Parts: sequence; C-alpha cells; structure tokens
Amino acid sequence: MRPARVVLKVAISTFIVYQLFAVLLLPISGSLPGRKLARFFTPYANELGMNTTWNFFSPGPSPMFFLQYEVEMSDGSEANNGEPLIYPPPREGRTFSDGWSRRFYGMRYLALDSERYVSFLVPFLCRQTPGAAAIYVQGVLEKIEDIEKADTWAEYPDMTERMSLQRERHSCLPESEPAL
Amino acid sequence: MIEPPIQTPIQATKLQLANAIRTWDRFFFAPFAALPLAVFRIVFGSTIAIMYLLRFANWRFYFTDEGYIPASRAMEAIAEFYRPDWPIFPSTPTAAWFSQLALLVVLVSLVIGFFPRISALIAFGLHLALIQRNVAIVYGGDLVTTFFLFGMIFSDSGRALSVMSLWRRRTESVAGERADLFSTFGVRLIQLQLCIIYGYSGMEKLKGASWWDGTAVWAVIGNHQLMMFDTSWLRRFPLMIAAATLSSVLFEIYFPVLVWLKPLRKWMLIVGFTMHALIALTVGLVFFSMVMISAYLLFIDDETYRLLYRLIGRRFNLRQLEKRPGL
Repeated sequence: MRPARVVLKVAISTFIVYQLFAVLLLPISGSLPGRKLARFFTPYANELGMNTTWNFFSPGPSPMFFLQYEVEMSDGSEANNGEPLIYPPPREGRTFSDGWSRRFYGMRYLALDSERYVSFLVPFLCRQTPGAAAIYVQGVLEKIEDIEKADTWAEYPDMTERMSLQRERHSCLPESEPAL
Repeated sequence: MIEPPIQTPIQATKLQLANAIRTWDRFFFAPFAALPLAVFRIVFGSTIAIMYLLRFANWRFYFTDEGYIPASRAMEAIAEFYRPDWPIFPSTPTAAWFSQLALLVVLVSLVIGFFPRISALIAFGLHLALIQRNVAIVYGGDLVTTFFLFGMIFSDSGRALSVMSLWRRRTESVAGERADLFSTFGVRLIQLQLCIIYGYSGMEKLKGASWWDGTAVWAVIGNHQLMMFDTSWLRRFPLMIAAATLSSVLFEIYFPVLVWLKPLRKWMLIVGFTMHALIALTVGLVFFSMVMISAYLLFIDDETYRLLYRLIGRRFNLRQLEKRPGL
C-alpha cells in the first residue's frame, strides 16, 4: 500500500474515533465521563448540530399539554369576551399536520423552561392579540387514566385526568409603559 | 502431528492487534456497494425534501419575527451547552426564504444524484443554519437528518441511479468501480449513528417506570393530542399493550448488536420497519419514521437490490435494466 494512502487512512481513522466519541459521549454529558470529557467535544458538536440527546418517549411518554390564556386589553376590556384561549389550537380532526406538530413541539420546548417561557412564549402570545396589555397564562396537563383503571367502555374525556398549573399574569407592555 | 509454533505473549498481542487493524480497515475502508447507497440517497433525500417543502409552506412563522423567536435572539433560545460559537443562521426574512429555497434545490440535486457530495455538503450547511434560526420547532426527524446528511457528505452515492452516472454514459463501469477511501466510512457513520440512536433511546426508556411495567404504549395511545386515530379500544387488550411496550424497549436496546449479525439482520429490519410504520400511522411522526427507515436500506445486501432491480426490469419490460449486471 502506498504511504500516502496509509497516512490518509490513519487521518480518517483518527477522525472516526473522535466523531464516535463525540456522538457516544454527548448524549450522556451529565455522567462522570461526560462531565470530565465533554468539553473536548462540545465546540465541534455544537457547530455541527450534533450535540443532542436521544430520549424519544422517555423516561415516559409526556402527558397532553397546552396553554390556556386570557388577554387583558389596553383599554381594560378582555379579549374573546373573557373566554380563555387555547394554544396551540386543537388540530382540526385527526389529520396529519406537520405545521401543527412543529407549533406544538415549539410551544412545549419553550414552555418547559422558565427562562424561555418568559422570554419567548409570553411575548409571542401577547403578539397574537394586538393591543394586549397583559395575559393570564395557565399550563394544563391531561394525563390518561391508568390502563387497569380505565373503564373498558369509557369515552376519552372520562379517561383523562386534568391538572391545571399555576395561573400567572404577564405584562405585554414594554417596562416603561405601564398598563392602565 | 505438527505442533503449532509457540507464540510469546508479545507475538500473540501483535497478531491480535494486526487482526483488529485488518477488521477496522475492512469495516471502514472496504468498498461499499453502489446500489444500496444510491437507493438510500433517493429515499432519504426525497423524504427530507418533502419534509422541508412542507416546512417552507409556514416559513414566515418559523423563520421570521412573526413566530416564536425573533432573529436577534435566536441564539438565546438554544441552551448554552448546545449553543454554537459561530452562528450561521439567516437573520433576515429574505435570507431565510432563500435559504429554504436553496435547501430544496440542493435536496432535489441530491435525490437525482447531481454532484451528490457537494449537494449534501450545501444541504448540511443550510439545514444547520435553519435549525439555528429556530431551534424550538426542531423535532426528531430534523435531528436525525443532521447526522445522515453529514454521512452523505463523505459517501460517494452517485455511482448508481444518478444523473452523474447517466451523464458519463458509463453506468456499468461506474456502478462497478471502487469507491474512494471516504465513501464507506460515510456509510458506516450513518449505520453506526442509527445504532447509537436506538441504543440510547432504549436505555433512556429503562429510566421510566411506565416502560418497565408495560404501560408506556397506553400513555401514547391515550394521548389524543398526538394520535391520528382513536385506538383507545386497545385497552381491552392490556397484554397486547404490555407486549408492544416491552418489545419496543428490547428492540431498541438490542438492535445495535443484532443488526450486524447476518442471520438476524433481516428480522431486525422487519421488526423496526413495522414499529416505525405503526408510529408513522398512529402518532403521525411520518417523516421521523421515514428518515429512520431510510437508513435500513444501507443494511440490505447488494444481492437483494440486484434481484429487485432485475425483477423491476422484467416486470416493466425494461431490457436496459436487465442488461446491467454491474448494478
């Protein structure tokens, strides 16, 4: 074998080892080896979008989740006649919708982190109603009944347990502009 | 009777090391058949082209300040541990629109096999840029696509069923010719990544009580926010739900090992295909499932493809196809 080919194979092999270490280590970055070694791989993996975890439906499938919110307008009135709005709006029928899925995953990604929730989701919900002064948001979880307890002939709504999280008020106005 | 030569521990270690190097060399550098790679290129490329065409339909919501994340704060939406040092996302609506369009163009180019490596490289860059612009709307299909596109940059996937092979008017020799050093390792990165995804997904599930006690699939079925059909009647068959739950975990944990064993490979791929088809049809994760299944095509023997290729040729009376033994 030509020396140049050997050198190339060694170089590629070194890269393969590095790549495999990166993709094997970073999903467990919270572990001891992860804490000790991740810093050697994160700059590379972050640049190439390869720093990720693989935990589909784990540790357990998520319960249903949506946001319920009411909007207080700048003139003191309530939007939607005071009826709570739902985000994301339920899908129309049970059809496949890539757009709805991305909206839903986006909402969940932002809602499950308190900083992202306040920085991105609250301003987004405010923008949905021009003239909004404040919104009252409440997360709602719906958990399906345990299979052994679920009535064999019950309908869906009777098989779910609804849990409402704390209702919070968020101003939609810039800090310098107080609500009426 | 001839006595085997006595080996010193050093000689034995040298021999084992040489064997290990040979195995590594064969695995990562031996030529990989052109046809499985070409079929993967077409199926994977088409899947993500459709996925991103649908995303393009809502581009204003995803990639402008009308949506969740304003461009000026796109990096803040990415947790610090995952944040790139050199962001490359399109910061204006026009740039985002052109990035989407360019991504679709290079994906079509990839599917038809027009400079597939360069197409994959550009697609990879644009894909990353758009993920950085709005990380919130990224789902499993996008994440897996990152890794598969990365592997495609190295893989010489245009040696068969491509514009390039037609263009050169030497399909037979092109299909049969040896790929360069980079090609096989690109394929191996994709195959190994598939194993890593399954392995970690399976082990992560073991942290959850519902996967252990066999009820996790019921929690998915009962999630009418995600489900495409009402399958709640399955609660009348709890043992079936338990079997589906436990077999999903077992499949994911053992796939990374068993798929490399030739006698079991076919069965692992059939089980995986069934699992993903059910996920696609019931939970609506169509693109994620298709992307994952597309990587299975790299595990199917070249011989199987040749047989299919000849059968298709015969079925549609395409003499040309039958005449190409190189494929």
